[in-house]
Amino acid sequence: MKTRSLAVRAGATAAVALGVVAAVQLPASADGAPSSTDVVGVGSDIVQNSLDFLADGDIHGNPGYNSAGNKNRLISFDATADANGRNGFTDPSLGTSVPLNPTVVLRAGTSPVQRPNGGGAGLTALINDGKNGVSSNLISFVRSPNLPTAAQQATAQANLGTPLHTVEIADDKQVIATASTTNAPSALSAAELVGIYDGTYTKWNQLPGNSSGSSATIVPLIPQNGAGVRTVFLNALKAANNGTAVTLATDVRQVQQNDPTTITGLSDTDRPNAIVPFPIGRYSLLQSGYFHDPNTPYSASAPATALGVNGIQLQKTGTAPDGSAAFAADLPYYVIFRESDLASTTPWQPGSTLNWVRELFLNPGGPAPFVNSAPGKALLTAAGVTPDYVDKGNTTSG
Amino acid sequence: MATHAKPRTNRTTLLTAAASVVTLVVAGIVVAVLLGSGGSSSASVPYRDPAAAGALGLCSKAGVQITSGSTTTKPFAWRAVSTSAAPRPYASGTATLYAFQPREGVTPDGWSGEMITASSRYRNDAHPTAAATGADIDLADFLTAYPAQYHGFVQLRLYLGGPNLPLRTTSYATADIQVSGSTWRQVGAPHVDCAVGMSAVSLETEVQPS
Repeated sequence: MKTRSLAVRAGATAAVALGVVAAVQLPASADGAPSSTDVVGVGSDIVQNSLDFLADGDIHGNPGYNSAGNKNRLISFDATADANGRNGFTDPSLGTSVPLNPTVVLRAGTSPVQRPNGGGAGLTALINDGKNGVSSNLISFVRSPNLPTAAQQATAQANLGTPLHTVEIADDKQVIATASTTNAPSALSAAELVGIYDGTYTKWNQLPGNSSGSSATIVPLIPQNGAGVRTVFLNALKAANNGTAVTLATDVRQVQQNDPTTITGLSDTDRPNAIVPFPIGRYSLLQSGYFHDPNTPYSASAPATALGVNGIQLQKTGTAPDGSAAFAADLPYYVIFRESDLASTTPWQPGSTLNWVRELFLNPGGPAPFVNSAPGKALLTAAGVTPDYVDKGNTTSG
Repeated sequence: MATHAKPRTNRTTLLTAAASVVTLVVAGIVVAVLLGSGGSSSASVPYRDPAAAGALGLCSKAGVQITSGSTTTKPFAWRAVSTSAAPRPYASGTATLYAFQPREGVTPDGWSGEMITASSRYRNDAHPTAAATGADIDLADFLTAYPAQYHGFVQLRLYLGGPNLPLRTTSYATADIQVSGSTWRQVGAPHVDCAVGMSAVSLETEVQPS
């Protein structure tokens, strides 16, 4: 009896101890969706690659924030369900193909919701991530090339109980892209673009100072509704139109933002006459070989060829027929979050003293947040943009 | 009775001893796992990282090995040279220096940390090296975010990577730094010839040449 008792006791002691070992070594369960303490961002297409790089690194060997393997991660959901930045559409075999409205699971254990596609859509989603002054905190931040409007700030205060706060992390420029072989003049001014997009000028030779130009019909393209780069472009046209918003002509076609195939995929007739606002950063990223042909199945031994910028060109410099400089709009990269998260005294990572805003994006008076660290700036540069760290506070775009 | 009692006492003693041995062994395993180790690599380092493979030597801008310094010197060190060679997929790859905050009772894979340099391209595969620039942080910046908790230690790790390669985080060279006030010292520093790492180039130089 005693022998058995001792054996049992010894075995039990070992089992308990081994149980502790097993508990200590138990790996965290893998889950594609963010946990409640991860930082989750949504929003702009054009800003998405910069945040992707900051989170998970680039293809040149620069690691991202998550490479440290910390408990809590930076998750930035792309605007598009496709990593090459293309919109999703319904199956054409089931009828006329229409935009899919892809969804995303913002947090583990929650239902898929509509994926915000663009900075504007992202801001709308963030300010609706709560009600009656109480945040739901499914969305932590928004990527956007535009500041929140005064109305959005007011709604955020009402819904979330806090204003929104913005930090600029990088700069880019939006210029005009054409086909490599084009009937467009080598540069187009902001004033000429106003006339093209409002329908005043429909042919190249109608542009002031370009009477000897082509008589072909201009094909003006514009990024889709909800895209922050569309807002940037329309705001630039408004500024060039003495502050009056431009009413788009009926022949202005809505296209997927920042995609060269919106031009290269056109008919032989339309391609040389198409123009579309395009970010220099995305053009540089395409040139870097980051994106690959999505029509080729994955194979380590026969990798897909890199997509490039063949077939399009940018009007970065030069003088337009009217004597003005080529159009170029500032394209700031903003990260927008609840101001209460900046003020939070809750550290984010185990053992840290910093909340997630101060760790990642904005840390007034303290060590550089990741986005403004040397590794962070190297990643932004690899994404084709110029790092620029500016606290914009809770200012608005009007 | 005595004849029966004696063997019984012996059995009891043996079983008690056996149980004690089992308990001690298992308890040792528990303690070792809690410390993230099966022992200690140095008498003065209170943890051992099972993923550690090789050591790191730190170098000044002039290419001289350093084993101590100020926490406010920026960058913390100009080179971190590994004593272990890069495995084949990472030949002529990239190396990035990370700082981690050891926490008592937490295994090393659960420690928090961050990069303290951007990536560097190295040419000497026998000694992968991370090169810093003047834009990199000092140790004090890291300690502000992650104060040294465990006997004042900070662990440095050199993660290898490369173009279109996943970061190698399962095995890495390390250095153990002990902080006291505004100074640090490397515990158990290996001897390295800093010249072997001088060909490494920080990718940061594409952003902000030092």
